[in-house]
Amino acid sequence: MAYYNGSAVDMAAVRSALVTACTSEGWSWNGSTEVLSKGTLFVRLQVVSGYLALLGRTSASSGDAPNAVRMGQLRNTPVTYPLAYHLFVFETEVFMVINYSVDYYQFCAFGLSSTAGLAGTGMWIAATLSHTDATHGVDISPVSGGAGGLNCVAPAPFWGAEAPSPSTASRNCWLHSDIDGQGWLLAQSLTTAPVGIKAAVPLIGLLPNSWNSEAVLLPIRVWKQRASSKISLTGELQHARYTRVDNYEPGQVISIGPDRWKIFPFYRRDTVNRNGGGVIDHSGTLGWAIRYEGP
Amino acid sequence: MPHKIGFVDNSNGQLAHYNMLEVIHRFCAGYGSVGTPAFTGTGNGLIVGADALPLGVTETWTLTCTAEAPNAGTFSVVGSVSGVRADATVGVAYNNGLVAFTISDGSTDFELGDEFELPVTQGAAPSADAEWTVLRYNTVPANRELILRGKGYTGDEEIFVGFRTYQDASADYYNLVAAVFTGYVAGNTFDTQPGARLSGVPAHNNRIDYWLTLNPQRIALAMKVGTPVYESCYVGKCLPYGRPSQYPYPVVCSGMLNGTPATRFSDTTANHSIGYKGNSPRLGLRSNDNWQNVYCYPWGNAPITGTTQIRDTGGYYHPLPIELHDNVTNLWGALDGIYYISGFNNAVENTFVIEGVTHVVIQDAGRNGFTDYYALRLDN
Repeated sequence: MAYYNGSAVDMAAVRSALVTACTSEGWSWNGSTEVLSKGTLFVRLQVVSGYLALLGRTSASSGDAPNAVRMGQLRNTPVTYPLAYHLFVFETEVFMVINYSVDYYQFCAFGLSSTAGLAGTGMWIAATLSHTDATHGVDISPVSGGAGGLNCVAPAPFWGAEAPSPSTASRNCWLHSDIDGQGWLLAQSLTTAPVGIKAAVPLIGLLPNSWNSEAVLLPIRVWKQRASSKISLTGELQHARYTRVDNYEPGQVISIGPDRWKIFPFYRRDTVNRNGGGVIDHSGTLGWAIRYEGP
Repeated sequence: MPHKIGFVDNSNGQLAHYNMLEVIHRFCAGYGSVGTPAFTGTGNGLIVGADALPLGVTETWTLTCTAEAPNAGTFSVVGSVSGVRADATVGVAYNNGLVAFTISDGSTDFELGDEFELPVTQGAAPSADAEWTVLRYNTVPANRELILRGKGYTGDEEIFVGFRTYQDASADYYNLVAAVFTGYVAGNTFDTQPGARLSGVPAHNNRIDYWLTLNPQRIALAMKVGTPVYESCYVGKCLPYGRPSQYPYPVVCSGMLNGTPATRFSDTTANHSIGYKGNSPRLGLRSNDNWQNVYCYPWGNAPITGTTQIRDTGGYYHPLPIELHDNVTNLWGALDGIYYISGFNNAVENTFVIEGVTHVVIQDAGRNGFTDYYALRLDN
């Protein structure tokens, strides 16, 4: 569909860029309710205390996700301006990546799951942060993420795989599958651990390959915990993939067959501590690729 | 449709696993089928032993008597697509490279103008430009051998695979061997072909139901034998996560056994299991250096196949690619047309369609747990 980039002087300008790009690609914007919509997809976009908060909904005014997801200050690193943004708007998926303070990145994204069998709207939404402050920074690794719940965040879509602690609902990603009548839940309750990245173990940890030094692009799948120790696939992002950024520069465009992909670290690349960790200010070499249809 | 579903047995006086090898031979090589000949005229000889050869196309052959002779005669041979070919003689086996047959001599001689019409249908493999070249098909020894060369999707590759039998009537096992090679030497035995990798696949001397599918770069087979249990194999290329210049020969040999042991289909030990579960000698991946016993994601992944297991999504099943890795620093690729699928509320031989392509659910030998199934794409 379309790729946009530019710079923004504050979070309101970030929101404005997002709204402008989306409305140019068929989305509708209601300025009074601050709801961006397309078909069954509804997301309320608000700038609150310097954060851009995105709240997924099943209608224009109801069916809210358990909490908003956000971009903004993470731990004690504020977002600085002007920042650069990259916007990728597809038919049913939108991705926005911001870049500030040279090598810091955050994202927000939302879209529609194409996985068959969902009872809900299939809307998914994700961003770097949950609705609470990540005062203890980042917790991410090739096998898990999001330990510490409220205070640590796995700044990647559908990566977090730990129960929130303290036990209060706080997630930076949701998908409205409504499987088992559980609406937006990824697990059996708000306070239990979702599957997250654990379903991709060990693949993301193998990369980049020793045999060709390249990092494969892995699908970003969303899972729903079910009763009796079962899980169901509820989503697979169409235009984004997990990868490792050891050998890719942030913003680099790579070609695989006819497709081009723009590579970003999830938060901040650290090739020394490449497997991330807990209570950190980087995301190792864990990153992602977004389908790129720009120049 | 380069897949074939059917069964073989021993009703022709030949052990069923020999007949299975013959099915593999004919289907992969691209043999077609022959319809019922129609005849108009006086003579009462017949067309016998008709065969649609791999190079043939779908057409009707018209055989017309052009010269009478006592207990003999000459027929012109004209294909509706292939045109005029060499004449055929009554009582002499005929083969023009496209179609083969013999016009038998009946009690009443043929007369000028007597005519047969012989419909032939091209094989499914060449119809899809996916036929394999037969390098060896030897049915003389007890361990019958078939070696094939695939051309890949580029059309100019050389992918060497093979099947052979091994059996012991006194031990009541009648098995196949799935094999992949790095080359072919005509003077070498089957097992000493270059870079040979072998894995046994228990079969049977009685009825075998089978699902055989191929494309230009790999052949996959599932068989139902005995009680029943399900036996599977895969030979040929995988889908590599790299360019041909990086990984020129990404082949996989997967069977049910480690090598060619004297193991019967009824064996219930861990040594008799689909190679697709990985981390065993039952599946070998040829890296750029050597054969490796690789791991096969998602088997080994805790949420999908361990502490929890995948199930349907609102009645829909979402098969996952089976990805080959070393569990340390390498992810090589995925199997072609073989997918992990949940056994939750699922059953062997169920079918489903994805993007117009039918898949069949196959289980691991006699196992039927949540994680004991895979889906086999029936190529078209």
